[in-house]
Amino acid sequence: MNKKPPPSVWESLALVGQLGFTIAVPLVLGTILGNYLDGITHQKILFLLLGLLLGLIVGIYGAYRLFSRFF
Amino acid sequence: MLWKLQPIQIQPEVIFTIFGFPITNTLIGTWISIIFLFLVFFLGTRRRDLIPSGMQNVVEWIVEYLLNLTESVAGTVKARKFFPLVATFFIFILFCNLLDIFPGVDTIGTVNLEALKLAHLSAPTSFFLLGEYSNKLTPWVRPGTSDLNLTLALALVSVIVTQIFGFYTLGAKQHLSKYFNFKAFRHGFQGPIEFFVGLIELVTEISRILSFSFRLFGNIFAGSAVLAVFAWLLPFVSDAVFIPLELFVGFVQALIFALLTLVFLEIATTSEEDVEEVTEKEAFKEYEQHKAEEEAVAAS
Repeated sequence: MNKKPPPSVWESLALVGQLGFTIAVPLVLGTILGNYLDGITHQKILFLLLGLLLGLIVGIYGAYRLFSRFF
Repeated sequence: MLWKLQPIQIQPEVIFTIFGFPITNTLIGTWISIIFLFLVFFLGTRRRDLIPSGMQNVVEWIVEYLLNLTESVAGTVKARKFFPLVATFFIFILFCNLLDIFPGVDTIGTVNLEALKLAHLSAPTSFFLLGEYSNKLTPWVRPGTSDLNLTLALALVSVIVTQIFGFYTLGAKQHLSKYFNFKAFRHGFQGPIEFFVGLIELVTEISRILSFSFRLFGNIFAGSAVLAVFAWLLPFVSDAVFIPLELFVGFVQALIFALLTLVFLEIATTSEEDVEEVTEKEAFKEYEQHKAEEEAVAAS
């Protein structure tokens, strides 16, 4: 895929706009899910931290996947 | 005080109901956009001359520009398949967004009698509402995309169609193996990690519904709120600044929604095996070219 022409200005703008959401949305979802599980299992912050970590992993992978076409 | 700040309410107001089905002001806005869109394209395609003039010229320019944009992302073959969906997204969202800046949208409506009662005011006597009355208004029309229901529906269409195209072009087995990568377990130690990456991919697909719908909704809703707030804080002057800004935001958001749909369609219909094959071939070609150049330099 090295020979793909560079993306147009609009495509770059769209991708950059998506980048923030790609990282943020899984983080928020993971945190909410972790908080909910904490409430059920009467843990303090165990699932919150796990959810946060999982969300971070998903976010970073999603960001990599979004731009992996250009590497 | 001549004007009061309009109440900023996220959920659309119900204007009236038809057989128990609530008609909200954003729904009316959406219908106005659809009728306007229909008129533009009806007038543009009514008489299809070989040498276009007037409205036909405009419509042809829009379609050609969008087709070129689609082809620059997806290539000429796939672009023909994706073009109808992507172009419809762009034009429909653009018309919905641009409704925001028309005078009367967000500002013409009926007086909310319950809010008047709460504020201990009697019914207004004049046609124009000033002072205490100006923020007790239920607008008749709000831009369609400032309703989360519409943007969520558009995002669902975008994500589901992406999946359908993935199934259609790659086949069910190959498409599902992107998300449930059982084949990876053959690779031994790395297997569970690769399987986990497939599941992550599934989560990112689902979270895209949220990111698409909230971005469009947030931008357009915030835009209309900014116009309302600054028309109150700094009348006349602020419009000169913020209406061009809203024009730009409306255009960019429509384009971003359409282009991202296109990009994800392109990703979904590209199989991973294809990518590796192409890269290897290209790398080999590049290597040969490089070698030939070196030989040419050495010979001279």
